[in-house]
Amino acid sequence: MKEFEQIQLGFRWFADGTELRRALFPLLAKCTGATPAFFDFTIEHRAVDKNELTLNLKMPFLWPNAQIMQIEAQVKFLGFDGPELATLPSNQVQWMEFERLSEGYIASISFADAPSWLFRFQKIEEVGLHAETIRSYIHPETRYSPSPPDSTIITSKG
Amino acid sequence: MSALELAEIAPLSAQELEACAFFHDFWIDSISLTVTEDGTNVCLQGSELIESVTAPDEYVSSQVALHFIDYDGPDIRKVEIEMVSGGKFVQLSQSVAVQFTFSGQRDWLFACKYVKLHRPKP
Repeated sequence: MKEFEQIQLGFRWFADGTELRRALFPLLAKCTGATPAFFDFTIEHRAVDKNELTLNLKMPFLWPNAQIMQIEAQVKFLGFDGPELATLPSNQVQWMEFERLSEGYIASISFADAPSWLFRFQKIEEVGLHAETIRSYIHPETRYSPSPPDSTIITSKG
Repeated sequence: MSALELAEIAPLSAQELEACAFFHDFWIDSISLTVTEDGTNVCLQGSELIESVTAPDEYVSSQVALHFIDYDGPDIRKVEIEMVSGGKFVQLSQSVAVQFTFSGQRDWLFACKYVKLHRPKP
């Protein structure tokens, strides 16, 4: 499938460049903005080391060809400094933004029905990614027609 | 800014700044930005709407200034400031994380050592 190949290439391109990894998140957010109702977001707390925040993202989204593709990503933020992890909402994510500081990054996560989250971290340890088409989807009221993400869009956000 | 004015500036915690919510009422024609030569201290000036002392239920425009000490983030001179439509402050262990939302632009994320709010006395 053409779209599937495109998104796989995009992720591989990110994984090759440490500096470009943070650009992954605007891409994910772009997809969530396409079909926010499909977005699923879970968080794994690391009780042993409070300086580490792990996010497990599951993000199904709809392509124009009525296929649902699910992306799973695991992201670890090392050197976490921010609000208490226990207060982090675990509902739908609307948007994520990252900015480089002199040492580390600052990040903002916007939730659908909760205050946004603002925190700092030193680096991202790893980004595990997996994408697959899970099923076809046909809804009579579906009017959205997203454009598949490509490297041009990613570069402009990075 | 005079020494007297500087003396009137009281450092606020992020929570206190959050409670102020003054940033919702910045005017597009009065926002200005000053940056020290080394780029570490940033001042965002504008006007806010406050309730009139003499006429309750009426609001008047008043000047306000935010000083971000030890700024750390994107090149502040490249940020096109037109209107602040939202803001968020989070107290971190040794700094303050700040997020400003500008109308029609991407958010501005940065950190600073602390923030001071300056409201000249009427």
